[in-house]
Amino acid sequence: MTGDEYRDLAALWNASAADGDRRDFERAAQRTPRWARTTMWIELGAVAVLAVTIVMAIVWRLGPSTLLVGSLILVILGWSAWKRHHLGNIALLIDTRDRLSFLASSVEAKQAELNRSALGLALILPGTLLTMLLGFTLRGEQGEGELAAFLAAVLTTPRGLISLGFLACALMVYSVSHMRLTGEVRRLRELRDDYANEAELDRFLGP
Amino acid sequence: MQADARGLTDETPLRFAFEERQAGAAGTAGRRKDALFSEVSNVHSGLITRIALSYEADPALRRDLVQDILLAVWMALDAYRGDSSLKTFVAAIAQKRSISHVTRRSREPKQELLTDHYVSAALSPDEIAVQNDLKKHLIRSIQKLPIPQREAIVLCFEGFSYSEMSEVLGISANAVMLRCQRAKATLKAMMDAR
Repeated sequence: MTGDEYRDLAALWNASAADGDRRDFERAAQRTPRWARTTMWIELGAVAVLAVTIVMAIVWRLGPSTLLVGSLILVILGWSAWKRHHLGNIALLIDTRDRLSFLASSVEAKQAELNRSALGLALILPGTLLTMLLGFTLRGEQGEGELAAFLAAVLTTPRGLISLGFLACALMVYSVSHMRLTGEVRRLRELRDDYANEAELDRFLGP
Repeated sequence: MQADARGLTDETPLRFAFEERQAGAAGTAGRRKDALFSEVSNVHSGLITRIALSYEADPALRRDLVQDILLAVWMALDAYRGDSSLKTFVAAIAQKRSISHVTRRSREPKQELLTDHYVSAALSPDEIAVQNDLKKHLIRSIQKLPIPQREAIVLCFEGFSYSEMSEVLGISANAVMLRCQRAKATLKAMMDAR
């Protein structure tokens, strides 16, 4: 590419933002500080309401165990709120490293999320079965019915069918989310490989 | 040194840092953040819009991406100490947010039907048609470049120096120069192939 060609393309590129894009940008820019501040105050408000509720509960049922548990919850709540605020601010600072490190940490974070999602997906069915068995055992202790009758009740009554519907929905949502995460991890890995190849070329062609 | 209508200059971050130390009040930090964000939205709107355009062809998704970048910039401004120029700081955040956006995308977006808004009106109808065609082709070619080369060529076109690009991309200035050369060669091949 000659110098003139480059300058022409650069000029063309710098004139490439459409009027619609500019209007959208202005609207987004006006919204951003308001939205960010509102979210921050809502989060702080929620923490304050929880803290006040816990303090009121401690005062209402004052005793050594209430005091201990309540204080622990307050400490955890405060720590978690501070951590969230702190992480929100430094997450972008962490991003200031080179692309390979940025992508490597992104892959690690997404892989951890994917593992948690796989665990959740694997536990939904056994968890539901165990809950049903627990329900049956509790009813059994009261001398009510057999397992077959209990399962028949689950599969035929409206309440049982609604519960099964919820379970199917939860499974579907989890599966879709799991597939989305799998795709994200794959794309991040491909991108990391692209950057690694470019870095290799930089080293190979460099002085 | 040039100052804009609000008196903001290249040294604005340093001035604000000094004022912040002098005042030592939380209110000053809030005003500083507001002023910096205002500078971002007034001075660097084109940069952010075009970076988003290089990653996202779908207009609706591009609006989301721009909003995401602006929110990230707003949050990051607390950590901005004026060590680098605001332009470099904004470009680094915009590029990384765009990369995250691309990897989150579940399917390839529909290509936008680029309109005549992308064309200068100070030309004859024939020239407008040619330039319109060239501009559409340039945008599509940039959107198809491999991401490592895409971010390099976009920063080149935006007028960043090699040392500024080195800060944004986190690689040496020499590596930036080589990557820009490869990006230019790939882009020229794509433009010639039409």
